[in-house]
Amino acid sequence: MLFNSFTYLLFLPLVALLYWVAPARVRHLILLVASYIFYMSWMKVYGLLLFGLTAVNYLLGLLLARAKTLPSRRLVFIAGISINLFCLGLFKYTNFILESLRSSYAQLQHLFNLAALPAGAFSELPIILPLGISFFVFEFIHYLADVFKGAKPMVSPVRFGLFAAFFPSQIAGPIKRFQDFEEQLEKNAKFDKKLFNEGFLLIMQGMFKKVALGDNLAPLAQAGFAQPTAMGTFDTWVCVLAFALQIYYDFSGYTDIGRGSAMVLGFKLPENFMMPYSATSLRDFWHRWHISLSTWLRDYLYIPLGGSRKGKSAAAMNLLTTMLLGGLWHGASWHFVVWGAFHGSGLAVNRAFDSLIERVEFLKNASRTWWWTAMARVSTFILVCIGWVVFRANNMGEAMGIYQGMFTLRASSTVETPVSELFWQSTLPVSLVLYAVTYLALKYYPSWSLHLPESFRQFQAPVYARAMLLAGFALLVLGLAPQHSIPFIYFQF
Amino acid sequence: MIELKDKETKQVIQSAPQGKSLGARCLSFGVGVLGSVLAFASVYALVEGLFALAHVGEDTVARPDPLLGYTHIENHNVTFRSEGYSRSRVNALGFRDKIYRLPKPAGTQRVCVVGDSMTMGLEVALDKTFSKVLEKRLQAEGRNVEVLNCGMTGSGTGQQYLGFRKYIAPLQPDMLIVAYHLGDTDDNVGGGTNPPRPTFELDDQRKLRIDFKDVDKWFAGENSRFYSSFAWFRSHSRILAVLSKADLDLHADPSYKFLMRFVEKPLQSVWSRFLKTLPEGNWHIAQSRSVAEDMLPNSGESAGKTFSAPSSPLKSDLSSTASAPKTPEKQLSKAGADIAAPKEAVISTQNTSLTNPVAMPPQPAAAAVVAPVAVQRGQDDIALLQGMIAIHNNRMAVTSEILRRLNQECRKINCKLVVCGLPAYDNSIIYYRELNDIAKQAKAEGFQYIPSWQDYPARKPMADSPHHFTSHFNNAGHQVLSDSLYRALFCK
Repeated sequence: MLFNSFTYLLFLPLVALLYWVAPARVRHLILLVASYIFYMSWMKVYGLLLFGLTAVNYLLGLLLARAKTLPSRRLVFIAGISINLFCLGLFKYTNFILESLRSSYAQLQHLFNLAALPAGAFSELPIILPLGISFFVFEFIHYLADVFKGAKPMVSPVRFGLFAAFFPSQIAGPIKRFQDFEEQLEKNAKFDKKLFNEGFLLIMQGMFKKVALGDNLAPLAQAGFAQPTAMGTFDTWVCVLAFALQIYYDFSGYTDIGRGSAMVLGFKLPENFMMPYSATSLRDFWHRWHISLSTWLRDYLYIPLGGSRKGKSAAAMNLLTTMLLGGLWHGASWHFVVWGAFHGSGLAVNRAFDSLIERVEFLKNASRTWWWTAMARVSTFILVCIGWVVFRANNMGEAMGIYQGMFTLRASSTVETPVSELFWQSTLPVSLVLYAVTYLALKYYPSWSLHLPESFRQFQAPVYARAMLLAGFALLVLGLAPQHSIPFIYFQF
Repeated sequence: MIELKDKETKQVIQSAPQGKSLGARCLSFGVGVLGSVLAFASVYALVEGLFALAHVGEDTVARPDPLLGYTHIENHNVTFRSEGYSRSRVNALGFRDKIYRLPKPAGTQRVCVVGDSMTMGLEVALDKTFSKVLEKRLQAEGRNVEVLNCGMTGSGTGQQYLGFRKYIAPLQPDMLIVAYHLGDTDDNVGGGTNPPRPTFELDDQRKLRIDFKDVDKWFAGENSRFYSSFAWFRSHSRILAVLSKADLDLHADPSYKFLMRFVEKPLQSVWSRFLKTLPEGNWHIAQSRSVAEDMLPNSGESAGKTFSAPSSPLKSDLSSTASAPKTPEKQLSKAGADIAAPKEAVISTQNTSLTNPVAMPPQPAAAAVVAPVAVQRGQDDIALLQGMIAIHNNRMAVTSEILRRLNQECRKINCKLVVCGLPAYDNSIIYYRELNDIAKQAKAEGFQYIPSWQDYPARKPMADSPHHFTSHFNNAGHQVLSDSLYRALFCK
């Protein structure tokens, strides 16, 4: 079930109604059933996978808490992590490994004149990636790791099942922390009108980001990446920019709808984005982009690897390893690994540069000026865009074609409709300006409203006017949507 | 919204201080009503304005028409964003082209091109459609030739024939090019559009009968009244266009369909949605059979108005049309008058009272694509295919009669008829049979046939093509067709 579908438009209000009308003790069960319906509406059989993994992790959690000795705890913990990683590997990486084996053997065969592989060896298996597996497996790993470290496990099977399957964050995060979630389950909060309204607005905002912005940007990126060597320099930059904005609006739009849906049900999910493109360094970027993933990677990969405790070079290596694996998490493909390596090495350089700034007085002073910040923002954004190219490209050849277009002067050749023209043909000029104006107005309203007369600030629009405004906004989303809806990018990870 | 308003009003009334006079209560009620009207008006204007800026909600092209079933809204701006992109204006005659002069300037050769959406070419800019590319090329060579794009989206050969008599013949064309495409014959059976189009069939004496029964029924019914009541808004309001499109999408949504079925027949819908599953093989055959049955020609009585093969001048057709049942009178007589309209009256169609647009008709049923699927499925399906070929032969006989009439009409005004075969998927065997039939007929009856499809590379079903977006031509596709027509018609 997609968030941007009519089915979800029926599903969410129905679930919310049932949830708030039902007695408090059955609410969690209702949400659990709803979450499984949500998951199984896509592919019924994978409901069993989610259920099986949930059951195994639930039991392992209890077992971990009961095990007295460290070796036995270690054994349970390692078994648990292995089961989770095995599932992730089986469904996500089997074909990638087979394909890599096949192509490396082909290389070896070529070099050493080896016999050809028997027909069908290492051939692709018909495996369909279960939706959201990367997200719920990471949540399970976090759960087991925290219980191993001494946290209290979740005792109620319904609550644990809901932690794993909670539909607003099921398919593409945010990656929850079970302590936060359990606390909210424990509270079993009463209906909060303010939170409900906030959630409703967040859903609307997410829909606008996804449908009016992300989905309209998609054809621009699509057209550009389909012909990486035919575009001129200007068009190549437009195309890369379009993808950078698309992935942000698509993913943050999804997250807004998910977080909004959770709020409608009285839950608060962690923030995932904080204006990532205003970051002043790659480090800063990862504090603002897909925050729930970057903090997971920090807590369960970077720190266990040794973090920065074992010297500078070890820290750099750890960063690189973490980001390489983080890249691979996004998809079973080498270009994601390259993307991870790009960010990993970028972060290592960033770290070294930061310590240089700390040591050199002149740089330290300069780094506090506005022009330094502005330059840092622009250069970080460009670096992130360079990273997105290899992320989006289907293979390295395609990425190289785009890079060539970006960094050499190239005239447009055989492109039928240049990407920049596609931009002007779309509804984007209007929707981007509308988004920017609304965003800035809301951001700066608290400060500039101080100059307004008191009576004006106290004025609150009557309900009917607000309802009309919301209806108008819904109409805008409907009208500015492209002809066909496009699946969320992060669903494939 | 109304509920909210009432609720708000109630709140206003309830929150009124105790002992407030009736006058004061009325005043606050009035303020509430005025406020909501103002709020509605300002939000409406704001959204409409933003849509105008973004050219959203400007893709409505068709309106109901008592003669053709539907036609294009005259003098109307269209921004089209499906497959490709274009912004253009439909002229006073309902054609996506500039306005051409009547009477035709002396020494000018006028070529009119009729066809379906492939000809209309809303996916590309007007000057990239094959008619206009051809015109530009000819004019660049110093020839005084006008090529008019008279394509109508979703039209079949029959509608093109009626359209020719009503709108195109008065334009004094020297040449009529019929850009024949997949589905143009199937469209003559009617159905598949809302409002419906007229049905074309042969009677026992193999004479062409045009049945307006469905069209008349639609015009006499609720739908027509509904459309007419919104006519102006539907042509001018972008918001309404957006809502209509959302409504169309909604009706195609599986969850919505299920919900509607559930409201009607709860048990049955749950049974068929969740519990009953058919083995896949059987399902396919059942599916193909139902398609075949659906394709059987209408053998039932044609109670509606018909007009038999017109061999007389245009005006005498009117008698047979006007003798039809008169429901609703005004619209039918309008249709009759338009058919017989003298040249100067044709231009005045912009003032027709029926300028209410309708949903774009869906693409023609790809009957020809169904057949090869059946071929692969063994003996049972060969019988099915033979049945489909029989149906095709019946339908083709109708098309062939229409082309014969069209040729006669053309000759009356010294106009040359040319039929050009557009490309389709390489397994559309029935479609290519149709083109073969047309080629033979052209030879026998003295009109020209151009197999333009041969200028395009073969294309497997759903395969990418350098000449198409997905199903319609891109700039390159139009260019190839223009070159093909140029070579066949204008090369010395």
